[in-house]
Amino acid sequence: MAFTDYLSAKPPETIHTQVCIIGAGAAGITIARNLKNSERVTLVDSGNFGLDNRTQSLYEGKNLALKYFDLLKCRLRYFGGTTNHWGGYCRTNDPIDYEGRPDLNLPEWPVKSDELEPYIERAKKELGLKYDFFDHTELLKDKGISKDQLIDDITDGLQTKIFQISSKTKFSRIYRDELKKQSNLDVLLNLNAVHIELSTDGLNIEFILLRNLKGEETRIYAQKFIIACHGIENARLLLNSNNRQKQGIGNTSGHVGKYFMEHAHIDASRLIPTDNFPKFYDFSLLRRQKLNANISFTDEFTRKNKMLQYYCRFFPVYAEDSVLNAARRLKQSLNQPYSASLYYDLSKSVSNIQEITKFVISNLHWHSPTPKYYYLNHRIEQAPNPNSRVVISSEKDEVGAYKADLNWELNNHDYDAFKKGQDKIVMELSALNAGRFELEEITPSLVKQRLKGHYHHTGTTRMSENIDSGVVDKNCKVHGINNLYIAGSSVFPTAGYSGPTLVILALSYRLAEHIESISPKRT
Amino acid sequence: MRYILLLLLPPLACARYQRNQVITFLCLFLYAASVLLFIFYSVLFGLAVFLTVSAFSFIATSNKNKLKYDDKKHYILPIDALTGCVLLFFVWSIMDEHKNFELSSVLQAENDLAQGAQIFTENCAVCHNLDPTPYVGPNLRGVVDREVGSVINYEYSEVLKNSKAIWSHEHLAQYLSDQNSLYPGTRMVIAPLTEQEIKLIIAFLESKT
Repeated sequence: MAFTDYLSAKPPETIHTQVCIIGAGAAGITIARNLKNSERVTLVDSGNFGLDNRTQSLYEGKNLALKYFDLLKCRLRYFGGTTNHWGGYCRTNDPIDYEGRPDLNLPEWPVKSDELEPYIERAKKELGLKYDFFDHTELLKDKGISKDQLIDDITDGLQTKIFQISSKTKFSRIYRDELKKQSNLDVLLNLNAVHIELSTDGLNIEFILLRNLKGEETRIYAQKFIIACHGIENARLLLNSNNRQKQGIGNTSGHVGKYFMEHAHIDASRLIPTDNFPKFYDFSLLRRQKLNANISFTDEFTRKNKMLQYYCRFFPVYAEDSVLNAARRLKQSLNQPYSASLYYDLSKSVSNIQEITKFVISNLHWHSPTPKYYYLNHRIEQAPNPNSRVVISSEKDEVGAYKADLNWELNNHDYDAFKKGQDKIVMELSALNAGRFELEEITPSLVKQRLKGHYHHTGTTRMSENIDSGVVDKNCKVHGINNLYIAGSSVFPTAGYSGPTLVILALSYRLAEHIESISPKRT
Repeated sequence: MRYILLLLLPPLACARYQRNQVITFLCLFLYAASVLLFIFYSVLFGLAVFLTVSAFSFIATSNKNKLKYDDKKHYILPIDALTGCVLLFFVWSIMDEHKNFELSSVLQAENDLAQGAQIFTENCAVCHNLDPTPYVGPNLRGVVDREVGSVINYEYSEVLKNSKAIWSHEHLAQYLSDQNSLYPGTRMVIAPLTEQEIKLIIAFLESKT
């Protein structure tokens, strides 16, 4: 019904509602919008309508193992959550993502692909995506690209996987008015969930303790609680609520916070292309056409070679950075007194004039010359790894909750996927005579040195059939607790190939439907 | 040969092939000025003046009637000497410049830029981009020496919007080291960076104009 800012207004001592959702990001907003038949829904968010540095600082945490993005900045803590910097890339999971593959420690999804399909369709419709994810005929036709440019038919085991790009990315702007009009919904801003109180028998959640930056507190009582605070934060909240159960809530089998997964990627090796290189995969050209297509492998190939999902991008380099910098400096220093560096830049620019011309031409966007080389960007899904996990720190944040650090680790399956992926790409493209490769051997140390992530935090409260192997059941309800649900990418058992947002939305629709089906209807 | 001489040493040509002393001295003066400009003010400006004086002397000496070598001109020698001095000064300055130049400094700067780009990607690119498409934070292309809070269509916090300051190197460094004390109420959030990292980011941003 209304948005209430509880930093300027003093929060009441207790709040009573039917469904309480913590976190107004992609998942939280979607669930709230789809609980129209519930008696009373309360959506709580830590921030306001814009980035605020005190609230955002509650995300502070250290990276304990592999180098990763600063945890303070790789997610956003205000209304709309991380959709505020989402790129809008959408793709559904491949069939292989749902299969359990014990040799890679990949658990089977308790929800099957066809069960999720109708919700994926709903999410697609909501995000304005019109094309099929597996048959690209329509999409390519609309972009005016011939299907012959794809390499699927001329190679063995390679498959082009295309993301669709949604323009509906900032949920805070898109849904703010709609949520304001929804009569059974209250949105509480500037309240941070710091503790979940379990009943004495350990079977129900009694209330969640919320605190604002001034230290004022309120308790929210509800019949159903949904936590949708983002990958790392969901685990942090469960682990921090340890007054009744030492190991934290939902953690009887010790899975909470473990299996943190990213879509890891590295740059390695170069391809000096010939005219046979399939230009469709030039990533600058793709970007210009507002497309995101990647060379990946067919499910059969991935399965047969016992490897994780892998895909590859080709980024063109027309001129080395040092040459471009020299040309740029030359432009600036021409209007300054003569210096010897001007001579250096001039000679460098003149001797590489061809490269610079190509760079300038490619930037004009009407013709794309053959680049000097492409660098290969290898991307994989990460295998679940119990050592890759959220660790509760001994330091507290401003609202008094222990901070969450991250111990991101890769294992041999991951290194293997990079290596096997590169080998296959090199083999197939060489068979096409697409160019000459300057190869770098992908070793664990090279991977560790160049590793990057995607801000895709998955797996920390994973979904499983039974309590022994995960945290939530197929309805996203925490095993062993009657009224606590978790939404967001933290419930994914495997990371898969695609970005998480579309599947987060699909699971959120499904969760909302489930909650409606078991709750008393609004009169 | 004569044209090469003309291009390189316009006053010499004027002195030898021009009867008008005023034009000769003007040429010498402009020639010296172009060298001084080149070395002390602006390469582009110096070149422009040099080309102008070359063109001027070319026109002044191309008149057929006056194209006679006149060895009775008593001022030819000092003009020759003066022109030679200017040329010597030019060559000496440039040689000196090159003698003191270390390629490593350029390579260092290059390395710094690459590092700056890396730090930018890791720390800033989550919210800021370098093209005008709206993102979480304002576009940072050309932020160095831009007025604070001046990106059109970006909703700044009050304190940044009302500030009239310029993002100079020092101002940026101060902001990046402690944004809250410089602009209390700013929404920008950044994890602590070292002084060196801040310097590298600013250098990187400066290269992106």
